[in-house]
Amino acid sequence: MLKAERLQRIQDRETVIYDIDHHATPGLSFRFIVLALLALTLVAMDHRDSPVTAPVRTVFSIIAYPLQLVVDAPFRVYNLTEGFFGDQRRLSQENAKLREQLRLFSVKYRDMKILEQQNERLRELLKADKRPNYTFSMASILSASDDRGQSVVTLNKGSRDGVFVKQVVVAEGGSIFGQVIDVTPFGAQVMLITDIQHALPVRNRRTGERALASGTGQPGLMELKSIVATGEVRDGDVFISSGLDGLFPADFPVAKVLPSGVKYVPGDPFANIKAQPMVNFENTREVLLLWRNLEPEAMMAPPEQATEQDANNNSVDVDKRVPGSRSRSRSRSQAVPSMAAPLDTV
Amino acid sequence: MPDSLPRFTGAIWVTMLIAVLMNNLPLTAEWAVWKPDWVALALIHCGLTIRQKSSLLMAFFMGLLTDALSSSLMGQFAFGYVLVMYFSVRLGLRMTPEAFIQQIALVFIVVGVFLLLNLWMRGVTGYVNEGLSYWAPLLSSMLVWPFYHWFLGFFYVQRKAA
Repeated sequence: MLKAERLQRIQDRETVIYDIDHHATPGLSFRFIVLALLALTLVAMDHRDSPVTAPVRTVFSIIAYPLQLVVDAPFRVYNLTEGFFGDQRRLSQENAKLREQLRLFSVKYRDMKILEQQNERLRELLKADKRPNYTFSMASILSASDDRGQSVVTLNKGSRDGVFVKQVVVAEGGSIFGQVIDVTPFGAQVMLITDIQHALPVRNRRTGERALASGTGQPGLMELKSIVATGEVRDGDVFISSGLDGLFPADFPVAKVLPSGVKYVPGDPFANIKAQPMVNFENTREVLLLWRNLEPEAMMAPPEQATEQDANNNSVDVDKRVPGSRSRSRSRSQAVPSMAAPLDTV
Repeated sequence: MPDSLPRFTGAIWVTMLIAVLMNNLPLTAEWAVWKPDWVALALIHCGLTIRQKSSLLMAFFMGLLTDALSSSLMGQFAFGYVLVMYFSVRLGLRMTPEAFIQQIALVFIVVGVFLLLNLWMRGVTGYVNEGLSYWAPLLSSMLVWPFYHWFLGFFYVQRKAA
Protein backbone atom coordinates (compact mmCIF):
# COMPACT_ATOMS: atom_id res chain seq x y z
CA MET A 1 0.00 0.00 0.00
CA LEU A 2 2.79 2.31 1.00
CA LYS A 3 4.72 1.39 -2.13
CA ALA A 4 1.72 2.14 -4.33
CA GLU A 5 1.28 5.57 -2.72
CA ARG A 6 4.96 6.40 -3.22
CA LEU A 7 4.73 5.30 -6.86
CA GLN A 8 1.67 7.49 -7.35
CA ARG A 9 3.50 10.48 -5.82
CA ILE A 10 6.47 10.00 -8.15
CA GLN A 11 4.15 9.76 -11.14
CA ASP A 12 2.36 12.97 -10.09
CA ARG A 13 5.69 14.78 -9.74
CA GLU A 14 6.80 13.59 -13.18
CA THR A 15 3.54 14.80 -14.64
CA VAL A 16 4.19 18.24 -13.19
CA ILE A 17 7.76 18.29 -14.49
CA TYR A 18 6.89 17.15 -17.99
CA ASP A 19 3.84 19.36 -18.17
CA ILE A 20 6.14 22.13 -19.45
CA ASP A 21 6.56 21.54 -23.15
CA HIS A 22 10.11 22.50 -24.02
CA HIS A 23 9.50 21.67 -27.66
CA ALA A 24 6.34 23.64 -28.26
CA THR A 25 7.75 25.02 -31.49
CA PRO A 26 8.47 22.00 -33.70
CA GLY A 27 11.08 22.50 -36.38
CA LEU A 28 12.57 25.57 -34.71
CA SER A 29 16.02 24.05 -34.24
CA PHE A 30 16.14 22.85 -37.83
CA ARG A 31 15.15 26.28 -39.16
CA PHE A 32 17.70 27.88 -36.84
CA ILE A 33 20.54 25.69 -38.13
CA VAL A 34 19.62 26.32 -41.78
CA LEU A 35 19.36 30.11 -41.37
CA ALA A 36 22.48 30.34 -39.20
CA LEU A 37 24.47 28.43 -41.83
CA LEU A 38 23.05 30.65 -44.56
CA ALA A 39 23.99 33.80 -42.62
CA LEU A 40 27.51 32.53 -41.94
CA THR A 41 27.93 31.66 -45.64
CA LEU A 42 26.88 35.19 -46.56
CA VAL A 43 29.37 36.62 -44.04
CA ALA A 44 32.21 34.52 -45.45
CA MET A 45 31.34 35.45 -49.03
CA ASP A 46 30.95 39.16 -48.29
CA HIS A 47 34.24 39.18 -46.39
CA ARG A 48 35.93 37.84 -49.52
CA ASP A 49 34.17 40.45 -51.70
CA SER A 50 32.22 37.80 -53.55
CA PRO A 51 30.06 39.24 -56.35
CA VAL A 52 27.18 37.03 -55.13
CA THR A 53 26.48 39.24 -52.10
CA ALA A 54 26.46 42.51 -54.07
CA PRO A 55 22.90 42.08 -55.41
CA VAL A 56 21.67 41.03 -51.95
CA ARG A 57 23.14 44.20 -50.47
CA THR A 58 21.72 46.32 -53.28
CA VAL A 59 18.22 44.89 -52.79
CA PHE A 60 18.31 45.46 -49.03
CA SER A 61 19.81 48.93 -49.47
CA ILE A 62 16.88 49.82 -51.75
CA ILE A 63 14.45 48.48 -49.12
CA ALA A 64 16.29 50.45 -46.43
CA TYR A 65 16.26 53.72 -48.39
CA PRO A 66 12.67 54.76 -47.44
CA LEU A 67 13.49 54.00 -43.79
CA GLN A 68 16.50 56.31 -43.98
CA LEU A 69 14.29 58.99 -45.50
CA VAL A 70 11.81 58.57 -42.64
CA VAL A 71 14.57 58.94 -40.03
CA ASP A 72 15.93 61.98 -41.84
CA ALA A 73 12.48 63.58 -42.33
CA PRO A 74 12.30 65.39 -38.95
CA PHE A 75 15.62 67.11 -39.65
CA ARG A 76 14.55 68.15 -43.13
CA VAL A 77 11.22 69.42 -41.82
CA TYR A 78 13.07 71.33 -39.07
CA ASN A 79 15.38 72.93 -41.63
CA LEU A 80 12.44 73.90 -43.82
CA THR A 81 10.32 75.29 -41.01
CA GLU A 82 13.29 77.10 -39.52
CA GLY A 83 13.70 78.92 -42.81
CA PHE A 84 9.98 79.58 -43.07
CA PHE A 85 9.38 80.82 -39.56
CA GLY A 86 12.85 82.26 -39.16
CA ASP A 87 13.39 85.72 -37.83
CA GLN A 88 12.97 88.18 -40.72
CA ARG A 89 15.78 90.42 -39.50
CA ARG A 90 18.19 87.52 -39.11
CA LEU A 91 17.31 86.21 -42.57
CA SER A 92 17.82 89.60 -44.21
CA GLN A 93 21.17 89.95 -42.43
CA GLU A 94 22.19 86.50 -43.61
CA ASN A 95 21.04 87.35 -47.11
CA ALA A 96 23.09 90.57 -47.15
CA LYS A 97 26.12 88.67 -45.90
CA LEU A 98 25.74 86.04 -48.59
CA ARG A 99 25.38 88.72 -51.30
CA GLU A 100 28.56 90.33 -50.06
CA GLN A 101 30.32 86.97 -50.13
CA LEU A 102 29.05 86.33 -53.65
CA ARG A 103 30.38 89.69 -54.90
CA LEU A 104 33.74 89.02 -53.27
CA PHE A 105 33.98 85.50 -54.64
CA SER A 106 32.96 86.56 -58.15
CA VAL A 107 35.89 89.02 -58.24
CA LYS A 108 38.22 86.39 -56.79
CA TYR A 109 36.92 83.87 -59.28
CA ARG A 110 37.68 86.18 -62.22
CA ASP A 111 41.20 86.62 -60.87
CA MET A 112 41.54 82.89 -60.41
CA LYS A 113 40.45 82.18 -63.99
CA ILE A 114 43.20 84.49 -65.27
CA LEU A 115 45.73 82.72 -63.07
CA GLU A 116 44.43 79.38 -64.22
CA GLN A 117 44.87 80.32 -67.86
CA GLN A 118 48.38 81.63 -67.17
CA ASN A 119 49.16 78.44 -65.31
CA GLU A 120 47.88 76.40 -68.22
CA ARG A 121 50.07 78.30 -70.72
CA LEU A 122 53.13 77.89 -68.48
CA ARG A 123 52.45 74.20 -68.08
CA GLU A 124 52.23 73.86 -71.84
CA LEU A 125 55.56 75.67 -72.25
CA LEU A 126 57.15 73.43 -69.64
CA LYS A 127 55.53 70.35 -71.20
CA ALA A 128 54.03 69.59 -67.81
CA ASP A 129 50.89 67.50 -67.31
CA LYS A 130 47.60 69.33 -67.35
CA ARG A 131 46.24 70.27 -63.98
CA PRO A 132 42.97 68.45 -63.40
CA ASN A 133 39.79 70.39 -62.93
CA TYR A 134 36.81 69.27 -60.90
CA THR A 135 33.07 69.35 -61.04
CA PHE A 136 31.16 69.21 -57.79
CA SER A 137 27.67 68.16 -56.91
CA MET A 138 26.07 68.56 -53.51
CA ALA A 139 24.56 65.63 -51.62
CA SER A 140 22.88 65.34 -48.23
CA ILE A 141 23.78 62.84 -45.56
CA LEU A 142 20.77 60.62 -44.89
CA SER A 143 22.11 58.48 -42.11
CA ALA A 144 25.32 57.62 -40.33
CA SER A 145 26.42 54.28 -39.00
CA ASP A 146 27.63 54.95 -35.48
CA ASP A 147 28.96 51.46 -35.06
CA ARG A 148 32.21 51.79 -33.14
CA GLY A 149 35.31 52.06 -35.27
CA GLN A 150 33.31 51.96 -38.46
CA SER A 151 32.51 55.37 -39.91
CA VAL A 152 30.16 55.12 -42.85
CA VAL A 153 27.45 57.56 -43.93
CA THR A 154 24.72 57.20 -46.52
CA LEU A 155 24.17 59.95 -49.09
CA ASN A 156 20.93 60.75 -50.91
CA LYS A 157 22.57 60.45 -54.34
CA GLY A 158 23.30 57.19 -56.08
CA SER A 159 24.22 55.67 -59.40
CA ARG A 160 21.29 57.41 -61.15
CA ASP A 161 23.04 60.69 -60.25
CA GLY A 162 26.35 59.42 -61.59
CA VAL A 163 27.91 58.47 -58.27
CA PHE A 164 30.41 55.63 -58.53
CA VAL A 165 32.52 53.48 -56.24
CA LYS A 166 35.81 55.12 -55.13
CA GLN A 167 34.47 58.59 -55.86
CA VAL A 168 36.01 61.24 -53.64
CA VAL A 169 33.74 63.18 -51.30
CA VAL A 170 34.72 66.54 -49.83
CA ALA A 171 33.09 68.63 -47.13
CA GLU A 172 31.78 72.13 -47.76
CA GLY A 173 35.04 73.85 -46.81
CA GLY A 174 36.97 71.76 -49.35
CA SER A 175 38.41 69.36 -46.79
CA ILE A 176 38.47 65.69 -47.70
CA PHE A 177 35.51 63.83 -46.22
CA GLY A 178 35.85 60.26 -47.51
CA GLN A 179 35.31 57.96 -50.46
CA VAL A 180 32.31 56.11 -51.84
CA ILE A 181 32.42 52.38 -51.08
CA ASP A 182 29.02 51.24 -52.27
CA VAL A 183 26.38 52.60 -54.64
CA THR A 184 22.71 51.84 -55.15
CA PRO A 185 20.42 53.63 -57.62
CA PHE A 186 19.13 55.94 -54.86
CA GLY A 187 22.01 56.30 -52.43
CA ALA A 188 25.69 55.82 -51.82
CA GLN A 189 27.69 54.76 -48.80
CA VAL A 190 30.75 56.80 -47.98
CA MET A 191 33.60 55.61 -45.80
CA LEU A 192 34.91 58.56 -43.79
CA ILE A 193 38.62 59.27 -43.53
CA THR A 194 38.35 58.54 -39.79
CA ASP A 195 37.24 54.95 -40.37
CA ILE A 196 39.65 52.55 -38.73
CA GLN A 197 40.26 50.83 -42.09
CA HIS A 198 40.91 54.00 -44.05
CA ALA A 199 44.17 55.74 -44.84
CA LEU A 200 45.27 58.28 -47.42
CA PRO A 201 48.62 59.78 -48.39
CA VAL A 202 49.19 63.34 -47.22
CA ARG A 203 51.96 65.90 -47.02
CA ASN A 204 52.80 68.67 -44.60
CA ARG A 205 51.73 72.00 -46.11
CA ARG A 206 54.64 73.77 -44.37
CA THR A 207 57.52 71.38 -45.03
CA GLY A 208 56.21 69.08 -47.75
CA GLU A 209 57.01 66.02 -45.66
CA ARG A 210 54.95 63.01 -46.69
CA ALA A 211 52.88 60.80 -44.39
CA LEU A 212 49.90 58.48 -44.26
CA ALA A 213 46.77 59.83 -42.53
CA SER A 214 45.09 56.88 -40.89
CA GLY A 215 41.65 56.72 -39.28
CA THR A 216 41.25 55.66 -35.67
CA GLY A 217 37.53 54.99 -35.58
CA GLN A 218 36.98 58.11 -33.46
CA PRO A 219 35.32 61.06 -35.24
CA GLY A 220 37.80 63.69 -34.06
CA LEU A 221 41.08 61.81 -34.21
CA MET A 222 43.49 60.63 -36.89
CA GLU A 223 47.02 59.27 -36.82
CA LEU A 224 49.81 60.44 -39.07
CA LYS A 225 52.07 57.52 -39.83
CA SER A 226 55.39 56.94 -41.57
CA ILE A 227 56.95 60.20 -40.39
CA VAL A 228 60.50 59.59 -39.24
CA ALA A 229 61.34 60.61 -35.69
CA THR A 230 63.81 63.16 -37.02
CA GLY A 231 61.01 64.87 -38.98
CA GLU A 232 60.08 68.46 -38.38
CA VAL A 233 56.40 68.33 -37.45
CA ARG A 234 55.01 70.99 -35.13
CA ASP A 235 51.72 71.36 -33.32
CA GLY A 236 49.14 72.96 -35.59
CA ASP A 237 50.77 71.84 -38.85
CA VAL A 238 48.18 71.24 -41.56
CA PHE A 239 48.47 68.10 -43.67
CA ILE A 240 46.97 68.18 -47.15
CA SER A 241 46.35 65.36 -49.59
CA SER A 242 49.42 64.57 -51.67
CA GLY A 243 47.53 63.05 -54.58
CA LEU A 244 50.10 60.27 -54.83
CA ASP A 245 47.45 57.60 -54.60
CA GLY A 246 45.83 58.73 -57.83
CA LEU A 247 42.45 58.72 -56.13
CA PHE A 248 42.29 61.70 -53.80
CA PRO A 249 43.03 65.03 -55.50
CA ALA A 250 46.16 66.86 -54.36
CA ASP A 251 46.23 69.89 -52.05
CA PHE A 252 42.92 69.36 -50.28
CA PRO A 253 43.13 69.82 -46.47
CA VAL A 254 42.91 66.60 -44.46
CA ALA A 255 44.04 67.04 -40.83
CA LYS A 256 45.71 69.40 -38.40
CA VAL A 257 48.23 68.26 -35.77
CA LEU A 258 46.72 68.47 -32.29
CA PRO A 259 48.35 70.53 -29.54
CA SER A 260 50.98 68.27 -27.92
CA GLY A 261 50.05 65.72 -30.56
CA VAL A 262 53.63 64.93 -31.59
CA LYS A 263 55.32 62.29 -29.45
CA TYR A 264 58.62 60.52 -29.88
CA VAL A 265 58.98 57.09 -28.31
CA PRO A 266 62.63 56.14 -27.65
CA GLY A 267 63.63 53.32 -29.96
CA ASP A 268 60.76 53.90 -32.38
CA PRO A 269 62.07 55.14 -35.75
CA PHE A 270 58.75 56.87 -36.45
CA ALA A 271 57.04 59.74 -34.66
CA ASN A 272 53.68 59.18 -32.99
CA ILE A 273 51.47 62.00 -34.29
CA LYS A 274 47.83 62.63 -33.44
CA ALA A 275 45.83 64.96 -35.64
CA GLN A 276 42.35 66.33 -35.83
CA PRO A 277 40.48 65.99 -39.14
CA MET A 278 39.63 69.30 -40.78
CA VAL A 279 36.01 68.21 -41.10
CA ASN A 280 33.63 68.31 -38.17
CA PHE A 281 31.83 65.09 -39.01
CA GLU A 282 29.13 65.47 -36.37
CA ASN A 283 27.92 68.83 -37.75
CA THR A 284 28.21 68.08 -41.44
CA ARG A 285 24.88 67.56 -43.17
CA GLU A 286 25.86 68.30 -46.77
CA VAL A 287 28.89 67.15 -48.72
CA LEU A 288 30.23 67.60 -52.23
CA LEU A 289 30.78 64.75 -54.65
CA LEU A 290 33.76 65.31 -56.88
CA TRP A 291 34.21 64.51 -60.58
CA ARG A 292 37.56 65.07 -62.23
CA ASN A 293 37.60 66.74 -65.67
CA LEU A 294 40.71 66.33 -67.72
CA GLU A 295 39.44 67.74 -70.99
CA PRO A 296 40.83 71.21 -71.84
CA GLU A 297 37.34 72.37 -72.90
CA ALA A 298 36.00 71.47 -69.51
CA MET A 299 38.89 73.27 -67.87
CA MET A 300 38.13 76.49 -69.68
CA ALA A 301 34.40 76.27 -69.05
CA PRO A 302 33.12 78.58 -66.33
CA PRO A 303 31.44 76.88 -63.40
CA GLU A 304 28.11 78.37 -64.44
CA GLN A 305 28.22 76.00 -67.39
CA ALA A 306 29.68 73.14 -65.39
CA THR A 307 26.36 72.53 -63.74
CA GLU A 308 24.72 69.37 -62.58
CA GLN A 309 23.99 68.61 -66.22
CA ASP A 310 27.72 68.29 -66.78
CA ALA A 311 27.94 66.14 -63.72
CA ASN A 312 25.27 63.88 -65.09
CA ASN A 313 26.98 63.75 -68.46
CA ASN A 314 30.22 62.85 -66.77
CA SER A 315 28.52 60.27 -64.69
CA VAL A 316 27.30 58.44 -67.76
CA ASP A 317 30.87 58.15 -68.94
CA VAL A 318 31.97 57.14 -65.49
CA ASP A 319 29.54 54.27 -65.37
CA LYS A 320 30.85 53.08 -68.71
CA ARG A 321 34.48 53.45 -67.77
CA VAL A 322 34.49 51.95 -64.32
CA PRO A 323 33.60 48.31 -64.72
CA GLY A 324 32.18 46.60 -61.70
CA SER A 325 31.55 49.91 -60.03
CA ARG A 326 28.97 48.28 -57.82
CA SER A 327 31.51 45.98 -56.27
CA ARG A 328 32.21 46.64 -52.64
CA SER A 329 35.71 47.56 -51.53
CA ARG A 330 35.84 46.63 -47.92
CA SER A 331 39.26 45.27 -47.16
CA ARG A 332 42.01 47.61 -46.00
CA SER A 333 44.05 47.08 -49.15
CA GLN A 334 41.19 48.42 -51.19
CA ALA A 335 40.13 51.17 -48.80
CA VAL A 336 43.69 52.45 -48.87
CA PRO A 337 44.25 53.44 -52.46
CA SER A 338 47.20 51.80 -54.10
CA MET A 339 50.22 54.01 -54.74
CA ALA A 340 50.70 52.33 -58.10
CA ALA A 341 47.07 52.64 -59.12
CA PRO A 342 46.48 54.50 -62.37
CA LEU A 343 44.55 57.73 -62.32
CA ASP A 344 40.83 57.18 -62.26
CA THR A 345 39.52 58.50 -65.51
CA VAL A 346 36.83 60.55 -63.88
CA MET B 1 5.20 33.60 -20.39
CA PRO B 2 1.58 33.36 -21.67
CA ASP B 3 1.36 33.42 -25.42
CA SER B 4 -0.28 36.51 -26.93
CA LEU B 5 -1.78 37.48 -30.26
CA PRO B 6 -1.03 40.52 -32.41
CA ARG B 7 -3.52 43.34 -31.76
CA PHE B 8 -3.89 43.92 -35.50
CA THR B 9 -2.60 42.48 -38.77
CA GLY B 10 1.02 43.43 -39.28
CA ALA B 11 1.59 44.36 -35.63
CA ILE B 12 4.82 42.36 -35.60
CA TRP B 13 6.17 44.22 -38.63
CA VAL B 14 5.17 47.57 -37.11
CA THR B 15 7.12 46.57 -33.98
CA MET B 16 10.14 45.74 -36.11
CA LEU B 17 9.83 48.94 -38.14
CA ILE B 18 9.82 51.03 -34.98
CA ALA B 19 12.86 49.12 -33.74
CA VAL B 20 14.78 49.71 -37.00
CA LEU B 21 13.94 53.41 -36.95
CA MET B 22 15.10 53.69 -33.33
CA ASN B 23 18.30 51.85 -34.24
CA ASN B 24 19.02 54.44 -36.92
CA LEU B 25 18.26 57.60 -34.99
CA PRO B 26 21.32 59.83 -35.21
CA LEU B 27 23.02 60.20 -31.83
CA THR B 28 26.12 61.96 -30.64
CA ALA B 29 29.18 59.79 -30.04
CA GLU B 30 28.68 59.91 -26.25
CA TRP B 31 25.10 58.63 -26.48
CA ALA B 32 25.78 56.18 -29.30
CA VAL B 33 28.02 54.16 -26.98
CA TRP B 34 25.01 53.40 -24.79
CA LYS B 35 22.53 52.73 -27.59
CA PRO B 36 20.91 49.32 -27.12
CA ASP B 37 20.09 47.22 -30.14
CA TRP B 38 16.36 47.90 -30.35
CA VAL B 39 15.77 45.23 -33.00
CA ALA B 40 17.36 42.56 -30.80
CA LEU B 41 15.17 43.66 -27.87
CA ALA B 42 12.07 43.63 -30.09
CA LEU B 43 12.94 40.10 -31.22
CA ILE B 44 13.31 39.01 -27.59
CA HIS B 45 9.91 40.52 -26.90
CA CYS B 46 8.40 38.62 -29.84
CA GLY B 47 10.10 35.40 -28.75
CA LEU B 48 8.61 35.73 -25.28
CA THR B 49 5.11 37.04 -25.96
CA ILE B 50 4.07 35.72 -29.38
CA ARG B 51 6.14 32.58 -29.53
CA GLN B 52 3.81 30.83 -31.99
CA LYS B 53 3.76 33.78 -34.38
CA SER B 54 7.44 34.69 -34.19
CA SER B 55 9.51 33.62 -37.13
CA LEU B 56 13.20 33.00 -37.53
CA LEU B 57 12.88 34.02 -41.15
CA MET B 58 11.67 37.45 -40.05
CA ALA B 59 14.71 37.74 -37.75
CA PHE B 60 16.93 36.80 -40.69
CA PHE B 61 15.28 39.42 -42.91
CA MET B 62 15.62 42.10 -40.22
CA GLY B 63 19.26 41.14 -39.85
CA LEU B 64 19.98 41.59 -43.56
CA LEU B 65 18.17 44.94 -43.48
CA THR B 66 20.30 46.05 -40.54
CA ASP B 67 23.43 44.83 -42.36
CA ALA B 68 22.52 47.03 -45.32
CA LEU B 69 21.77 50.00 -43.06
CA SER B 70 24.87 49.69 -40.91
CA SER B 71 27.28 48.76 -43.74
CA SER B 72 28.39 45.67 -41.87
CA LEU B 73 29.12 42.36 -43.57
CA MET B 74 26.02 40.85 -45.13
CA GLY B 75 24.83 38.16 -42.76
CA GLN B 76 26.53 39.53 -39.63
CA PHE B 77 23.38 40.89 -38.00
CA ALA B 78 21.25 38.24 -39.71
CA PHE B 79 23.17 35.55 -37.82
CA GLY B 80 22.97 37.51 -34.57
CA TYR B 81 19.23 38.16 -34.80
CA VAL B 82 18.41 34.55 -35.73
CA LEU B 83 20.35 33.49 -32.65
CA VAL B 84 18.55 36.07 -30.49
CA MET B 85 15.15 34.85 -31.67
CA TYR B 86 16.04 31.17 -31.21
CA PHE B 87 17.41 31.70 -27.70
CA SER B 88 14.43 33.84 -26.71
CA VAL B 89 11.93 31.19 -27.75
CA ARG B 90 13.91 28.33 -26.24
CA LEU B 91 14.73 30.06 -22.94
CA GLY B 92 11.32 31.74 -22.75
CA LEU B 93 9.72 28.29 -22.50
CA ARG B 94 11.77 27.59 -19.42
CA MET B 95 10.83 30.83 -17.69
CA THR B 96 8.26 31.51 -15.04
CA PRO B 97 5.59 33.75 -16.57
CA GLU B 98 5.97 37.42 -15.68
CA ALA B 99 9.01 36.81 -13.50
CA PHE B 100 10.76 40.09 -13.98
CA ILE B 101 14.16 39.08 -12.71
CA GLN B 102 14.11 36.09 -15.01
CA GLN B 103 13.27 38.33 -17.96
CA ILE B 104 16.19 40.62 -17.15
CA ALA B 105 18.47 37.58 -16.82
CA LEU B 106 17.27 36.36 -20.21
CA VAL B 107 17.97 39.76 -21.78
CA PHE B 108 21.43 39.72 -20.21
CA ILE B 109 22.26 36.29 -21.60
CA VAL B 110 20.76 36.73 -25.06
CA VAL B 111 22.09 40.27 -25.67
CA GLY B 112 25.43 39.21 -24.19
CA VAL B 113 25.74 36.31 -26.63
CA PHE B 114 24.65 38.60 -29.47
CA LEU B 115 27.30 41.21 -28.59
CA LEU B 116 29.92 38.51 -28.19
CA LEU B 117 29.17 37.20 -31.67
CA ASN B 118 29.33 40.70 -33.12
CA LEU B 119 32.64 41.26 -31.38
CA TRP B 120 34.01 38.10 -32.95
CA MET B 121 32.80 39.17 -36.42
CA ARG B 122 34.27 42.64 -35.94
CA GLY B 123 37.56 41.07 -34.96
CA VAL B 124 37.54 38.98 -38.13
CA THR B 125 36.84 42.05 -40.29
CA GLY B 126 39.52 44.17 -38.59
CA TYR B 127 37.32 46.52 -36.57
CA VAL B 128 38.86 46.25 -33.14
CA ASN B 129 36.83 47.46 -30.18
CA GLU B 130 37.82 50.19 -27.82
CA GLY B 131 37.59 48.30 -24.54
CA LEU B 132 34.89 47.94 -21.94
CA SER B 133 32.62 50.58 -23.50
CA TYR B 134 31.74 47.97 -26.13
CA TRP B 135 29.65 46.26 -23.45
CA ALA B 136 27.72 49.42 -22.47
CA PRO B 137 24.67 48.43 -24.60
CA LEU B 138 24.38 45.25 -22.51
CA LEU B 139 23.78 47.36 -19.42
CA SER B 140 21.51 49.84 -21.19
CA SER B 141 19.50 46.96 -22.72
CA MET B 142 18.73 45.61 -19.25
CA LEU B 143 17.82 49.11 -18.04
CA VAL B 144 15.44 49.94 -20.90
CA TRP B 145 13.95 46.45 -21.15
CA PRO B 146 11.07 47.00 -18.65
CA PHE B 147 9.91 50.18 -20.43
CA TYR B 148 10.42 48.82 -23.92
CA HIS B 149 8.67 45.54 -23.00
CA TRP B 150 5.76 47.53 -21.58
CA PHE B 151 5.61 49.77 -24.68
CA LEU B 152 5.65 46.86 -27.14
CA GLY B 153 2.94 45.17 -25.07
CA PHE B 154 0.42 47.59 -26.62
CA PHE B 155 0.81 45.81 -29.94
CA TYR B 156 -0.29 42.42 -28.56
CA VAL B 157 -3.25 41.06 -26.63
CA GLN B 158 -3.14 38.08 -24.31
CA ARG B 159 -4.74 34.95 -25.67
CA LYS B 160 -7.97 34.09 -23.83
CA ALA B 161 -8.18 30.71 -22.15
CA ALA B 162 -10.34 28.24 -24.07
